[in-house]
Amino acid sequence: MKTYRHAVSMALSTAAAAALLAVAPSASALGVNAATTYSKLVWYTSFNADGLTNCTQLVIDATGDLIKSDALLIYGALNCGNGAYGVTGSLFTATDGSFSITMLVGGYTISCPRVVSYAGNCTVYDGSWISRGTGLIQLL
Amino acid sequence: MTRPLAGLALATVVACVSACGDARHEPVKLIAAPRPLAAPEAPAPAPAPVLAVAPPTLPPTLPPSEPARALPRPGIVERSQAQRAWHPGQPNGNADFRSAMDAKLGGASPPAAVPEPARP
Repeated sequence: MKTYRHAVSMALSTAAAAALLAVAPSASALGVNAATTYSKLVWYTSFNADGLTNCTQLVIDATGDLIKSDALLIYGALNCGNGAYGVTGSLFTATDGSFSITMLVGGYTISCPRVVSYAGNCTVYDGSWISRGTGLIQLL
Repeated sequence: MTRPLAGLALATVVACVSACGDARHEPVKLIAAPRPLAAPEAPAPAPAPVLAVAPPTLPPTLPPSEPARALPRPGIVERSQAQRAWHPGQPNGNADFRSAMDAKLGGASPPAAVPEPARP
């Protein structure tokens, strides 16, 4: 009888622990789900800032939970005629159907606000936040 | 001899009456010597008028003497182009990205309404 009670107790404890694990929330503060990565996004680019005039292709990966966080991290390269610049930045969506991209590229910060229909205008800022040029990006 | 003594006594009485009168009528005695008035301080200098200085405007371009610290040097290669460049015909993730973004942003255009079949 004692052995039977012990077995029942152990079973109940195990079931309770399993139930707790099943409902335990994830450790993320925003409640985002697992990130999805969109690989090898290819954009046509054009900039008139010094050093970027012959950079016509942006290849990036974008990762994050787009549904819950409304944002993605982006990273990749801005390919130019004589090499490539490393790129890192972010993208976030807006309720007006646009999204905005900010990226660090070769000492510049390129801001492309309100990209609509996968094309938009950008401003190129230097490290002192002085505008050094403009440009555009368009998803191929 | 009696007359001088009487005069002396009378003088004493008069002096006592005049000098030892009611204390309430005594003049107020000063408890401290009056301090000399402090020399008038020099008036504080008036604050200098704030000059209306226009905020410094950033030069549109860096002066030639300033090193171009914020500008990337043309030609600097931070990554190998061969590893990242995309060439036409190669697969990319644009279609998946468009699909996800369209779903997130509500789609570029709403789906066409399916016309109901005409009822007889």
